[in-house]
Amino acid sequence: MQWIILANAKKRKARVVMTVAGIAIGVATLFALLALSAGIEQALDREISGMGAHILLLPEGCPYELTLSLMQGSDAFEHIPVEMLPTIQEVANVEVAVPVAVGKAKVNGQLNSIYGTTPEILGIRSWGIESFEGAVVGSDVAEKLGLEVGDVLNIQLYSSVELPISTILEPTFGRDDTFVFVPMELAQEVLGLGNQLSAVLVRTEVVSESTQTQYTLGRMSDIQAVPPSEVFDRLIELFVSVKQTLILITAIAIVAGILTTMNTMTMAVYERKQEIGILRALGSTRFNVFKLFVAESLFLSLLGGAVGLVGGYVATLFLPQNSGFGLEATPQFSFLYLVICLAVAVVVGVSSSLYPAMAAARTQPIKTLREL
Amino acid sequence: MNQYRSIGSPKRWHWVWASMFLLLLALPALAQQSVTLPSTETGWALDVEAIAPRQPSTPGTLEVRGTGDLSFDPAAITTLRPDVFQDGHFSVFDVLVHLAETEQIELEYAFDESLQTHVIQSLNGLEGWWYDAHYDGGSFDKTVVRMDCFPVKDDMSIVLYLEDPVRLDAIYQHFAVEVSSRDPESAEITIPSIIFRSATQTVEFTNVVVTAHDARIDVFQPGVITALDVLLSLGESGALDTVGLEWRAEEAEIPVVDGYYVVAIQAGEFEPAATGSCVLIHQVLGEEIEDHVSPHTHTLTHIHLTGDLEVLVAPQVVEWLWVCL
Repeated sequence: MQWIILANAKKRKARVVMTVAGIAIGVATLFALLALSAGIEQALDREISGMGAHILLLPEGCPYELTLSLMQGSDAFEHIPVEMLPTIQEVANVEVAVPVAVGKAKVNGQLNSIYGTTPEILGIRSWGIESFEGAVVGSDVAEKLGLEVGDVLNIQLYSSVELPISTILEPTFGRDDTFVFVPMELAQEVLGLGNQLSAVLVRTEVVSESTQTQYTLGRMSDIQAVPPSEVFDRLIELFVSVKQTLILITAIAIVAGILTTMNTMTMAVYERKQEIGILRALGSTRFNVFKLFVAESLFLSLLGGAVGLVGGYVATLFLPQNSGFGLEATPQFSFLYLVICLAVAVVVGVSSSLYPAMAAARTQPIKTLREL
Repeated sequence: MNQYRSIGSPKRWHWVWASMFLLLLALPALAQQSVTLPSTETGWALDVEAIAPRQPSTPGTLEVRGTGDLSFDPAAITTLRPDVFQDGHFSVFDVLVHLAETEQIELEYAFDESLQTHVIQSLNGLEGWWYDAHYDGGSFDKTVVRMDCFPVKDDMSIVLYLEDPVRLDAIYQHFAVEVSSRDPESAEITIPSIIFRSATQTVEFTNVVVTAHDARIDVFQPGVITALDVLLSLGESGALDTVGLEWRAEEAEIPVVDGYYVVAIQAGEFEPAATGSCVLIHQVLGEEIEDHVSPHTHTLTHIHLTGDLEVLVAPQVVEWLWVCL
């Protein structure tokens, strides 16, 4: 059987190439979609959970844009007065309230996000350091600017300050790698924020009672209390609507692959009627003929699937490596995606071969031999 | 008990309370006026006598980042753009100049012919400033409107800040492209692409000639073209069948709105109409700024610079999007 399949593939190279390409496009699209979607979801999850807060206290405004600004380290122009901090800290179940002031400033002459905060940040971030003094620099920015512990940073925007680097963080693979963490007052001075904060990150003592705490905090004037999970869900919702469109496009590509393969196999049955007649005359059963065409279709589909996997992988290298929310999102590859894509290829192969294989199996040997 | 009855029976008081309640319900409606164009009397022009807009009158503040909130009195401000604004109206840039005149800030500025706008050369000794602004009830929106054309209303928020040089350069390039594609002698502009997006449909009109209709003659000088003129010109040319506008003087808890909301349009089968609190908001776009404007994906506010208040020079694209609260 393998010999017959390979011989036919060699005989009709152009058709095989086109059929394999048709399936490969569908599989490549699916593989790239799965890898990119997983990358985006992981990036959002990493950024939001990486904040380490159970509740985000934000100024009034669109909570999603404000959260994105916070994650991206850019100033959203809406702020919380620093005077509110003691009141926030006194709310029941608030374990720690970490003030944050973010914005972009020139760090050693290059525009970079600075993240003003207090030593309490160490209680909610998993950086593995014990003190927050001077500048704590993310690994990416340290590499970009060629910084080392002990170097003195010049940070400049509305005013200019100099600050020694106390720590260069180990890579977190999140946005923390791109920030320069500095003491709150210094960030406020450089960013021209006066006594204002971009946000307050709240960690609760009893997580199961966070909803009540969020409600209490949300009733304070001029601020809104948002659980990070809600922001994550909302951003994922926005992304899902895009993903659905992409899934539709992928489905169309896969259906096109099925039709292409079906067309190829139907044509093959028509062209190889005499070959089928001889096979039947030599003792092949209807089921043998049916199996031959299904196997041939499966071979083409799996070949297309394999080419598609390679193509999809290469495509992800050239597609934008961000989440669409201004956050880096590298594609995530998994063995499961490989299995899914090959399973789709198998489904394409089997479903597209059923009709032609049944037609081939119904071939009357005597009738076709008479036509020889 | 009997003494109370002598004032009026409880049933009569019910009528009084009911009347007062209905009057309260009707108050917002009085602040709104709906217009469907073309009208039998004025065609595609708006009746400027039918609305009662206000001039800025309440003292306000402008935040200069790094300096703080600075106060201004609208009565003391005159405009640098009398070619754009009527007496009593002025722009964000005029506020800034006023603050410099009252020695609250140090400002160097100039009118850049190639951009057709005033630009800040330095503010408090620093270069690279841009601004963002929104009206009461709105939110900052990454504005790309010329600073000397953004009309000031009472209770608005304005912030001057040092902008990312890449974005500032993109904004100025966008202005330069607009100026270079407009004939300064002509009273009309041609917009290459006007796009309407509803939840399910998108319609595009290309190379649309837009003329002024002086719908906001109370704010702007005659001949000033605004984003609302895009709709009115499309209507006149027959591309749009009808346009539904609503004059809103105020919103709940927002005392000053004074703008036309676009609540419906009809162009053949394309017919997004107001359902609930949905409106069409506009966005001026161009190749240079497409990565530097607010995506308008959030649906929390439609208190924004309405089309009747955004002055157009010669944008490459004007897009109208359906936004619901």
